[in-house]
Amino acid sequence: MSASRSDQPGGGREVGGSRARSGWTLGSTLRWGLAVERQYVRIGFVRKSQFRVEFVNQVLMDLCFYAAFILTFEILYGLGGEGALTLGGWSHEEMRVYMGMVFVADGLFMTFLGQQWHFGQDLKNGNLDSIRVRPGSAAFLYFFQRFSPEGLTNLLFGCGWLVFALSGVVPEQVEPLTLLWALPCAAAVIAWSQVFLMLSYNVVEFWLLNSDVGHLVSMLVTSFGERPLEVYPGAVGRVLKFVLPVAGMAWYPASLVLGRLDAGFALAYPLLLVAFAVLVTRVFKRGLRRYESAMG
Amino acid sequence: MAYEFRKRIQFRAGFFVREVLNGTVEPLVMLFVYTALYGSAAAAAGEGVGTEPVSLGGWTYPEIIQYVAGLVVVRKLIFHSRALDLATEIFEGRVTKYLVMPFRFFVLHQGRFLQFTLLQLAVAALVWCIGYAAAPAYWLVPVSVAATLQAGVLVLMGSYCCFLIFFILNALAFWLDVVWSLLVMAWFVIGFSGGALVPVSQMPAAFYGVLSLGFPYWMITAPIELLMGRLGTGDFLLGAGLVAGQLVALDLLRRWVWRRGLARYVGAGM
Repeated sequence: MSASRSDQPGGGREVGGSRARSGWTLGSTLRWGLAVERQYVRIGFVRKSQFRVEFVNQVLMDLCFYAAFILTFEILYGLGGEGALTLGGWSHEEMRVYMGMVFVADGLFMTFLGQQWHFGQDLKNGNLDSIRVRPGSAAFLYFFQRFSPEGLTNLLFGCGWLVFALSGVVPEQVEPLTLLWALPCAAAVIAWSQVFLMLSYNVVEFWLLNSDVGHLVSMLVTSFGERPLEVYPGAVGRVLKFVLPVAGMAWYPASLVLGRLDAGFALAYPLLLVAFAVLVTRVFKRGLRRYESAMG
Repeated sequence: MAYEFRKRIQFRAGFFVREVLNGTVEPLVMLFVYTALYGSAAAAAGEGVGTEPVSLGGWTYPEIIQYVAGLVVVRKLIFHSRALDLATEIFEGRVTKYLVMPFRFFVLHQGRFLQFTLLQLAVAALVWCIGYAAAPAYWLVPVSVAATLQAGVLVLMGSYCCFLIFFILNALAFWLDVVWSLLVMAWFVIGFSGGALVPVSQMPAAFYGVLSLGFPYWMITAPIELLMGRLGTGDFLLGAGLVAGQLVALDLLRRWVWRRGLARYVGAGM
């Protein structure tokens, strides 16, 4: 990795001291993060250029997932005749937008966070030594290290579906101008939620080593978040909104774009996501202190 | 001592998660989706969920609940791609040592299929008992012993087809550097075309016409319908014949791929 000295937080003046002394500011942290991510992206493309058939296979694999998902809901909505059925109050056209958000969320996850599947095993094998550096973020260095070009390709397919789905609700339900601010906000919320939800279901591995609990929770979270929260019983829906904010993955972004939220909730919910992120980051740091290189 | 205790507890938690809870999430979500969908249909028809026979695609809400319950149990018996590590053996050149054994290499993998099936029969029985104890009024209770046996035969034949497909895809490691994405892709196709997301018989007629010819339908949807009494012995015989034909074809393909692969194998490694 060849991040330059000036890319380091604090311009490389001092590493290892307190954040104030080392000049750790938000700007320098972002610059450092972007420099590291640029190298991860480069490595990702180099790696995938050696496995071109695998690249095609993985793109096809995710397209199979998207096709199965789309067909399932097209079949379900078709059961009652055109426009007759809703799913927790979501019409067919709205559900297509919801699916678009799910695909974008999945694409972002697969592009940047694929390393999370290896966390339990790496923790067990004691492979985290190299990412325990200061003042950089161990979580960032670990979870973002596997940039996936095929994930990026599928993200583009997901965006394509989202554009198609939005064409079904614009301008009848959604004003075109609304999209100018709602779509960037939705994308930011999806990215934020994916990162900290992923972190939250991996922290459990610090206490239940190589238990697959992280994978199960990941599957649970993803599967539940892929459907509108209104389909779940009240208590389950509230947990998915306020305790483990899966709603940030697709429900909140789709509802925001479609104008299904009242203004107060739309403004307050991101604050909850920030609080969740702070909590999860603290628990992760505490968990990381339990790591002793050879835990298996 | 504390360290050993922690390790034991952790791996048992892993076993419980992997063997009992795994495969239950999707049916659970499916149940919620169907509840909302039938609620919407019932509201449109002026009826309450579960009290009136609102039918969507030939399935009422109580039948769908039973289908989902059956799905949880049946999925436990279907051979999983994670149960084979043939691709790793090929990548690392460890196949050589098996080729000098007094029996065919494939027999080892058949043994793994047998081991998987026996273990999963116990897990499926356990899951069925837990489900029945938790919700006896809604849980799927087979209509007869004969239907249970017929369903079991179809599921196991279908599971063997999955085993052959996963073996073939693993054997592609003779040519490819990575095969896991093919395995995942195969499961997406098998799951959807078998009815893991929507019962095949609830799909539009064109879908049903095509998918009911494939073994996935006879491995997932049809056995559950047999257990529910929606299909009979005639359907079982038709399905068994169709699946047997596909099983033979897959086995021939498996032999051909294996021979071709082995011919280019250089055995670097062990």
